[in-house]
Amino acid sequence: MDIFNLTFMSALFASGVRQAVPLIFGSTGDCVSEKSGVLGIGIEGEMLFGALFAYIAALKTGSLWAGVLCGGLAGMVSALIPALWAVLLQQDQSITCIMFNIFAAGFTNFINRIVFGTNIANIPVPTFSNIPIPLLSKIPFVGEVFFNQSLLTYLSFVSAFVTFFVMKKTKLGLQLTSVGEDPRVAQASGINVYRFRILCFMFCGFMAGLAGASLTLGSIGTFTEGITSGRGFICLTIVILARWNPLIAILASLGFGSVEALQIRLQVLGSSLPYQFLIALPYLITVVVLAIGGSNLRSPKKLGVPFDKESR
Amino acid sequence: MKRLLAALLSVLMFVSLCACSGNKDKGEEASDRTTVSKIAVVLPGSITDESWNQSAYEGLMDIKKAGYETAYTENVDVSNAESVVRSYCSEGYDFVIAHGAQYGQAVCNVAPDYNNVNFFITGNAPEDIAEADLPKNIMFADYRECEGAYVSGVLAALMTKSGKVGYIGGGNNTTQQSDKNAFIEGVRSVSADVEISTVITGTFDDSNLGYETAKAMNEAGVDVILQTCDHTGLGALQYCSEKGVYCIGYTSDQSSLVNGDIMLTSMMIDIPFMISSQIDAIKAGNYGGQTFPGLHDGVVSMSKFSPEVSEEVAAKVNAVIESISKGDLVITPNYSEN
Amino acid sequence: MIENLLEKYLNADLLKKLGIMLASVAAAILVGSIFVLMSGADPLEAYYYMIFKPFSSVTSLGEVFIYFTPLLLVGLGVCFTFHCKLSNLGGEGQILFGALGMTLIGISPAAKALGPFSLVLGALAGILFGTLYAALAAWFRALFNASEIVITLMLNYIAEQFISYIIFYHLKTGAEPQSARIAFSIPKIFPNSRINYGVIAALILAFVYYIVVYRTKFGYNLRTLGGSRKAAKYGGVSAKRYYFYAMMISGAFCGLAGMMQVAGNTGRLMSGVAADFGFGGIVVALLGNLHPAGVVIAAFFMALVSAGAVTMQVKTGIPTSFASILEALIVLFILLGMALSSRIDNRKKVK
Repeated sequence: MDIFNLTFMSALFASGVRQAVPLIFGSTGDCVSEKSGVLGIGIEGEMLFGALFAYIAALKTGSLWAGVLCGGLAGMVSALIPALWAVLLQQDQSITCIMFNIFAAGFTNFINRIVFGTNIANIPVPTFSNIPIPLLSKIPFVGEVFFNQSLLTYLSFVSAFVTFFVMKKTKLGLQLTSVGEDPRVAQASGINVYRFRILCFMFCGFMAGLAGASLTLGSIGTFTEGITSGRGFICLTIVILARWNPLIAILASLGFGSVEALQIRLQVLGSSLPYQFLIALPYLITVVVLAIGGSNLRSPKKLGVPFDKESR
Repeated sequence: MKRLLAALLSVLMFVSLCACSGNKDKGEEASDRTTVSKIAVVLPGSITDESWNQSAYEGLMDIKKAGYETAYTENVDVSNAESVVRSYCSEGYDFVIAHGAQYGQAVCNVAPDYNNVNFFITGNAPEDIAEADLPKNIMFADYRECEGAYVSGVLAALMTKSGKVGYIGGGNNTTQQSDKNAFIEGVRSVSADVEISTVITGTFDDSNLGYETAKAMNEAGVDVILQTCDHTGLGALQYCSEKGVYCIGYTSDQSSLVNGDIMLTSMMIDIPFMISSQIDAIKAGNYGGQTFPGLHDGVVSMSKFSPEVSEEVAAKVNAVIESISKGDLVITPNYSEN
Repeated sequence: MIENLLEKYLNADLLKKLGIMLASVAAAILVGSIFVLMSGADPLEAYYYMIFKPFSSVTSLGEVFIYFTPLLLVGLGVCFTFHCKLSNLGGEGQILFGALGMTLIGISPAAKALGPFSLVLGALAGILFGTLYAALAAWFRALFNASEIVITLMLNYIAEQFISYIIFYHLKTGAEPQSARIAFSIPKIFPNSRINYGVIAALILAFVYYIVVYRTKFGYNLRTLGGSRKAAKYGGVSAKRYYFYAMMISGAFCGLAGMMQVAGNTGRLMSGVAADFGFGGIVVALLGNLHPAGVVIAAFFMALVSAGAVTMQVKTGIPTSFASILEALIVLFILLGMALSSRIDNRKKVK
């Protein structure tokens, strides 16, 4: 069977792009939070918050954008919990975030049941439809893959680009690096490290919230319990693969999404490999890519180290 | 150093002290198993999954309405199952339902310790335990969900225009495996030429993955899809609803979840009935052993066909249903891979 | 070390600290009560079942220890990596492989003849498998300088699918995707409780951990490495080699935890046998401040809360999601208490 024709490939990569959207949002946020020195393990939980509240808002207001905004805000507010513990109280960031994730999973299920009860199916809201960009979408292959997507998809790309620009080209970006590399010096130069880190964390929460919103409002239009299915952890991986660079994170997300799309299609086409192998394929490839491209890995110096302005 | 040793020793002492003061949790009442008052269900997933777990929950609610005291635990891992089942027994629940064959071993471990408690497992007994060794107070319902999957296969094969049909499963349990194989068997019974594509998503929670899977299938030409994977399946249905792809629902009549008449039918498993009917069975005495509910007793059934299904096709499918319920056509669960 | 720590604690304003800890637990309980009330249950009753009921009988205490053993083992294991500033998030995968090792021995025809010795062999196999799987992560780290966080996380997903594959294609005996029952399980200590001798083994290992980390050259080097890479280099400690060791020992402990899960709990290999203990163990290690006594206490506490949550859920009908909310709240508030009490210490030092 000639499977590698153009239609197949463009459908494959278009699906890859769709599946990459939550990953792009999430990893962009995480890039910033990790650059400032705070691990983003809590992303999974913030995403859940975003997913649930985006759905509720979209359903109640009838506006998808209100849903997206609400999802982002919910992610941001929820991020205050790990921020309080990890930054202000200087507790271990992994343990705080792992606990926060457990809390978030329980809490969103709880709210979901309070709002919608257990006996009816959640009513789907209409989802974002594809809006082809004039001219660009006419380019063969590339147009179909990248420029015939939903506004949410474009938003994810734009936000990653903007974040990259701010990180690399502005004073704010410099401050971000200094806070993550040497908070003591940053403090001495007049930056309030605590406030800066909390703001970065909230930004990360906002982006994770958008990621959640894209899960509920992107294609299925409803919230189901545990909808994130570990995507937050994939974001963490992508950020490290991309070496804290949002632009490379886009590429890594696209790669991950495409391999996922590929494994589904291999199953559809009747591959004789055990399905377990295909499900594990994206993770296997990540490991291989990491092995090839992981050298010279340099994380922000004070990543994961709580900052205490009083200690010396 | 010495203090640490002392600390460790004292932990040990504490443990053994607790042991000495141990009282008995086990029911001391006479082992009369014909009464039921408190009923508990152990569920592998969430009660809002629109299918497997939710329908068991509904069954439990039916029992509750009948005036019994009920309880349930969701999202129970196989390795925690024994712990949960034991807790229920020691809290005086006298009928414990474990919703899934994966709990078979755990319940077999607990049952001998609680002779006055009845257990019900919605699945087959562990094969490597000889029938004589199975605790007598457990009833296994080796229900034939695969009969529904076979019928779905027949219907799918008759309805496809492109000659390609698809099955989306969650994976990793017996029922899913036998559903997949029976679906294939059903399609083959109609035609040897229809192409069947099957995807195991590996998860029951990821609706976005379900959506993408249905889309990938549809792009490969599949025009009838059976899904048996709860939340993941909901995503698949969402895609079918958007694009008007024929689909078949699972566990309950799911036609309200899609637009128009594209849901051909749903293979319904009347879990509420299967569970609530156990109460009468217990009262009748001698509860235990194995049953094989299926199409013949209405535990498995197909919901009303959509108007898209022509009368001719409906007649053919109904004939298959009839011959299965009569026992003329036997669908043996096939658990093998591929 | 332990003496110093005890001294420090005894000299510090113990009452004040105790007060803060109690207050923080009380705060967790208060916040949790809101959720309990919202679910229509009585908070007092709920907390009674969660925290006190497990002590009421050997049977229910036994359930606590079913959680305690793997939590303690994984907790001790990841401590080794944390000591040298590595993060082993791959506990889940290593547990699964350890479980596989035990199962392969336990279901082999020779196991019946071996009797209890099959457990010893199984433990060795579990440790070996866990170690090798962790060594894979360490190898990636050493050879390619790849982040061990990502590698171990990815290896979890891969292990999960690999075990599923092994069960489906090779170990499945009947319909259910699970292996045959192992020939010999860890004997129970008391007839009417599930607590088994694995607990004793785990406690002994806690002691071994203490000796290795605080009383040997190896442990000293490991901790130096964690303190400062440069200092370690001066002392002639090869970072690469120690990362390797730490990761492998960590994997060995996790593998043993997997062995305990199969031989002391499920009796069969099935997916879900790791049951998130890989992450629970990290919480235990950090909550216990990497100190052996601390880790034992933290593991017991987490086990109590997990087992208690089951009882609470069973008795009051509070959904499992509430149970997890409460668990998280309690840990978070305890961290809050620890943060506040360490501030009191710091202020004293400044004075």
